[in-house]
Amino acid sequence: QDDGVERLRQALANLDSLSAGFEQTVLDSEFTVDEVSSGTVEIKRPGRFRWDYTDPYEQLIVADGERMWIYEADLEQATVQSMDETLASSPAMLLTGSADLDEGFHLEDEGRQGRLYWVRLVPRVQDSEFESVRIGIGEQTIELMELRDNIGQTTRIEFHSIELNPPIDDGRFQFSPPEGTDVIER
Amino acid sequence: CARLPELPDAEGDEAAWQAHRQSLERLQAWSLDGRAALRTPDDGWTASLQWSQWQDYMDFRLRGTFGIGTTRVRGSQDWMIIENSRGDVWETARPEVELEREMGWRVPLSELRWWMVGMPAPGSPPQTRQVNDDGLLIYLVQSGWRIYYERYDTQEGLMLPGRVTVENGDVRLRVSIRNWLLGDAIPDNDFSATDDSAE
Repeated sequence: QDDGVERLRQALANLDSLSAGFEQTVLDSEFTVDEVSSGTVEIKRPGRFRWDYTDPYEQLIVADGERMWIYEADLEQATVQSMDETLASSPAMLLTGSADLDEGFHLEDEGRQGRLYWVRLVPRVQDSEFESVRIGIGEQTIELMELRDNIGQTTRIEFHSIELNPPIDDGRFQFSPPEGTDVIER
Repeated sequence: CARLPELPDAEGDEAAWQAHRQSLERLQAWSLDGRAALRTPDDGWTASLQWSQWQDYMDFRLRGTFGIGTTRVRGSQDWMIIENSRGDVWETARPEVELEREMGWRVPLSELRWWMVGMPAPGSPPQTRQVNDDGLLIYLVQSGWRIYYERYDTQEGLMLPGRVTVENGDVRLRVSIRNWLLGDAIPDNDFSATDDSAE
């Protein structure tokens, strides 16, 4: 039975906005931890998100529905690109993308594992960077995402202190680079 | 772009510099963990950087946003294995040319490894070298590249760069280093000078 897939559709249907803390762990092909980072995320569908890495480095990724900024204060560099260039399989796009998942992905139900229901998404068009994405759905909404690339590396993003559908002002998704930042249009 | 002020010709403490340089030269092995920003005329990106150097052998890994887009380069300057997260693997005797094709920048790897720890590359003398009162390198021009040492941190009893900018015309690599691992202990990942097993 399609419990996982159904729960994923439900979760996305009920998701207008979200704010949470996240922890990101990158595991190499032998599943040894390569890098751990954390921060906060705010999402407002369609197409807006603010992904704020605060530890161990600061990186701000802000999208207003049309353009996405990636800014690093310590490196004094920011890139801005149109959103349709950004990777469809990136976690931010998956959560905020307006396109229906079935268009871009083949959905495989992995059923319940522990507390979460799992679905595996395989890009219908061979995505140059990604082999598959697994999404774990909890009681309220999506709680975990695992992105697996073509050399067996996994990026695991776990959300905590999740607030579902809080009011979020659109200003949170605007960004203007501070004085002295080198801005690159991609 | 963010122009760095031209540095005055500081005559710094030469003796302290010579002592510092010798301790850098004795480093058999080091690893760094940090962030890198690349800027070329028509592109630019930032990534996590993990770099291990063991004598002439280098293991250099860049990982993009959300862990998307990884490039790993291993080997010494005359023979290298380049891998990326699209699954491509290739071996090359001309790594700098291949890297320019793969990542859009041409930085002399064999010299970059010396610049990273805060000293000129041995061999060709630098055109310009400026040292501060603590005997640390603050500005260097070598092989046509300008290197700015913008921050130093003490790591394992040695002053090592915390932020370095390497520029040449319209190519700029800026590295902000979070931590260093030093010593002759071979950094923990699985490389060695004769690493024939391309994973």
